[in-house]
Amino acid sequence: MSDEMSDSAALLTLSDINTFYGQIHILQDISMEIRIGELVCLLGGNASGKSTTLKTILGIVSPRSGTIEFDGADVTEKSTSFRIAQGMAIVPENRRLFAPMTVLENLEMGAYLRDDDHSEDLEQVYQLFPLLADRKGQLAGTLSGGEQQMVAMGRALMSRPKLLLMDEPSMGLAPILVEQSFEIIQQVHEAGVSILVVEQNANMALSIADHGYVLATGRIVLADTAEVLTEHEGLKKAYLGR
Amino acid sequence: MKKRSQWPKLVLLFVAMALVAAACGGDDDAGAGGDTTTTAAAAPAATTTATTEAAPATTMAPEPTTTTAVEMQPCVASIGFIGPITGPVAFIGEVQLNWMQYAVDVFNEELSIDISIVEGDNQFDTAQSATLAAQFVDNADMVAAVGPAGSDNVDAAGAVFEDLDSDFSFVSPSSTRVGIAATYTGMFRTVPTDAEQGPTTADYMIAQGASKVFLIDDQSSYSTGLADSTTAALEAGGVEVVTESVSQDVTDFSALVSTIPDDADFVYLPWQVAANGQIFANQMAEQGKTIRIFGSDGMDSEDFTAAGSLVATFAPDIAGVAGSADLLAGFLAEYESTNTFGPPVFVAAQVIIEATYRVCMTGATPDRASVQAEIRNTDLADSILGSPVSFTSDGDLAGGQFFISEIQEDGTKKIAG
Amino acid sequence: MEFFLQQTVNGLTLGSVYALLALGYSMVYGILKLLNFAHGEVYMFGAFAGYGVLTVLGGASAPLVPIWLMILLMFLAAIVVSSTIGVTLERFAYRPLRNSTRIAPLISAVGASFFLQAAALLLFTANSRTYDAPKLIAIQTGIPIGPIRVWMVRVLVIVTSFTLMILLTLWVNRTRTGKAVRAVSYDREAAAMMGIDVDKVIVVTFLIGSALAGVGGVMVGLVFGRVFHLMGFVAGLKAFTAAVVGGIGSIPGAMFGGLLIGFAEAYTTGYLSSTFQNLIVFGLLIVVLLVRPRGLFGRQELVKV
Ligand SMILES: Nc1ncnc2c1ncn2[C@@H]1O[C@H](COP(=O)(O)OP(=O)(O)OP(=O)(O)O)[C@@H](O)[C@H]1O
Ligand SMILES: [Mg+2]
Repeated sequence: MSDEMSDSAALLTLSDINTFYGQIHILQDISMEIRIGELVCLLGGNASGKSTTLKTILGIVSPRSGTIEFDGADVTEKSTSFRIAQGMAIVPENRRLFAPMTVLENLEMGAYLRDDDHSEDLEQVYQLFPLLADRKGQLAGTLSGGEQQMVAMGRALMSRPKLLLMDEPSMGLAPILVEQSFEIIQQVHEAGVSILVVEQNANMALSIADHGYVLATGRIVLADTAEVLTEHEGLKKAYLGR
Repeated sequence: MKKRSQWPKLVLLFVAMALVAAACGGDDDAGAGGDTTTTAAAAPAATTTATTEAAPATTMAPEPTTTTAVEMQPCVASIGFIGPITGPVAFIGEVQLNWMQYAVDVFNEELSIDISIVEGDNQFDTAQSATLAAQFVDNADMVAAVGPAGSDNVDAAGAVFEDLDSDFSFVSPSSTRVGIAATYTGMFRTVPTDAEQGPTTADYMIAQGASKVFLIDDQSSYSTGLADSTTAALEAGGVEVVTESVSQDVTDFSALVSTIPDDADFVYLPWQVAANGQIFANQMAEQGKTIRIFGSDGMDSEDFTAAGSLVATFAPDIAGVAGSADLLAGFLAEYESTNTFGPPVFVAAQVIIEATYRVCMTGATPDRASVQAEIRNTDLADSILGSPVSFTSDGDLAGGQFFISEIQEDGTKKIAG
Repeated sequence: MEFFLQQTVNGLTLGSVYALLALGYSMVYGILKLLNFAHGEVYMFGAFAGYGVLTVLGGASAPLVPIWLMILLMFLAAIVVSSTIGVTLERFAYRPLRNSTRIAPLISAVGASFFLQAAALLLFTANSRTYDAPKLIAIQTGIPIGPIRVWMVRVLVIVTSFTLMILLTLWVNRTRTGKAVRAVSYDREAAAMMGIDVDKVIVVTFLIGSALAGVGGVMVGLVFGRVFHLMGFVAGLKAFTAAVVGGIGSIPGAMFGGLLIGFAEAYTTGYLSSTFQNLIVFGLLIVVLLVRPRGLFGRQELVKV
């Protein structure tokens, strides 16, 4: 499967990205690529720059140098709105739901940039997460952690993304919920959405990914297929707990 | 894109227009409706030219002691004027300056002297008054000054005069705070003090048979002081006084209006902002309250036009003073309109000019000390205000009294007591 | 009963103006966490814009256009002037400081407030103006409610402000931009991650909040009469109090807080004494903050803007 995927065209290409917070150099010469239809995972310890990478991709923070190409176009100078309109979406770290708004309103925010009718997409989200249909009038802030994760996923899918960015979707979930959410990620992937998932749970991430990158203090230290990374000795010691 | 680029310009244009309109729109104070006295148009045109020379031949000018005048050097001096020529109460300053100019013109001609004016615009700002006072003291040609208007400004200027040169005299045409003239050596005033206003007001109400008065102060020291003295006089006369208080910054009095008892005979408003008094009157009308409003001298302004209401004034409307008709006509021939703040300036200028003249008559060159001594000796049997003018040892107007006017349907005021 | 009714009408009039002002204060705070001290001046300029239109069109005693059109134009002019000032403030006084310390935009707001006051002083002088609304709409016109009669201008003020409050509530809850305002208020970065143009939403918030203040300015001119360059200060203070009592950042809170302060002022004056009015109002503020530090509608309601 991965072989045939790697032949397809690049959806996202980062070249020599350097991102700073003020004077602090966070991302250092990051280059990575996600091909159409791929599921790629980005691993790394705390403060290694994973979230910063996603924010740079989405345009929430701007890199000081380097280029970002998305779907065949250079988007380095483009706004977040533009990138989202072109097909990016994110499930942010800690979900970042709009707590005082209802589940339905949260989902609608995911489709903020769409002018067309999105009732079909709403139906699809409810199919994926039947529970949300019952909870659509409930304030998002009053949902359980698992339910919130569903809303966050659903919200991102509402824009019909080509590339779904996910920042630690398993964080704070019970093991059984972690498994469930990875199943859903796979479902979404199989439906044709390319995915970049950031995880500390490397085992789980590599088990569903085609490729993986490993980040340490803002540099990419490893990049390979998921199979190779799963067997990588150093990685095993450092992240896979084996 | 093209569509969007147009509308910011439109908006800008709109804004500019609306703001210009607001800026140009007449001030309340300049409203045409309520001149305190008649306008120039009302004065007979034929007589006006003659009056300028004829007027001072009345009792106001001293007998010219022509015997020594021949050998004398010309009597030359300059007099300062401090007043709110611009700013929040420019309607006071403008009229005051006009009367000042008029007085100087009249007496220069009449007494063959050469008095000039140095104008000082304090914008009704105490800091400006203090600065102007210092400048006046520095001006060696200046023997004394008229002004300032308002007791706070008198305090500001007075402290500087006292400090730098207590021989410098200043005659205020509109400061009524009690005790202020005693504080400053060089201060005189041609208007009565608030100590007179309270009793005059109370006496009038009592004479009208009042048994209950609703009093609202505006939380300024002017207002509370006046409220206290009026209340004391009313209560001494057996009148019940219900007291309330509201800030000058407030413009909604409706809740307060609702609390006015129906059996009150007067609503007494010792207020500084006359426009607020008008709003109060409107809100009374809105609630169907017909009790008469009685305003203090602060309400004596074109902003307050509620017909049937009464206001206290520190000077009379001189249109009602028979002996001043010629002077008034002469003034109106030259300047458009006047109000109660004008004539006391004429008297203040007159006091200084005649004191200067008397010094000249002794053969001396007028200086501040000699002019001040002569101002103390002022003893006019009559004045444009229709009453004699002399000063107490403090510099207060001796025997000063307040006047009470009723506002007519057309906005003019008529002496009521 | 008559007295109570009268005071209720008085409180309602004052309260609906406070509510309109408090809304803008609260919305801006919600979205920027900034106390927009210049909000009262935005309201003052609205009042002057209405006065400008009134004067140009003949004044209250000799209007050149039908009265309904006159009042409509006054409101429109105030909306245009106030929202232009509000948006300009955002662009030049607040946006450049958005990523600096929290105190910097606050100081900028105080500066903007003084600047606008001084500008008004130069433009309009310190003389106060009056709308003279009784000449436009006679004091005798009105709607009888039981034993009392409510002047048409009051009816207009109360109806207009309640209509605007309902429209605003619908807008914020039902429209895409309205929801975006709520989203940005709650979490600016998350909203950006949804593709919401945060700058645009902030501009819209200033636009609407300032327009409401402008409308409030004309209302005050119509019903209470006097407009002057310092009128924004006390009004701004009252609006701020209303917003805090209601729970700053909360739209229903601002409405409720504004009305509450209006009623508190009217009933205090009516049943206690006008002398204690401010004492009671600010006492109320302290009590509310002691019992509910986030205001009556703050946080717990989860309706934040
Ligand atoms: N807004 C910011 N301003 C300054 N520094 C920041 C900011 N956001 C993140 N950082 C710093 O950048 C570094 C990388 O942060 P980042 O959030 O990308 O790490 P991460 O790999 O996502 O970590 P975690 O696994 O804990 O989420 C950290 O040292 C962090 O403190
Ligand atoms: Mg992270």
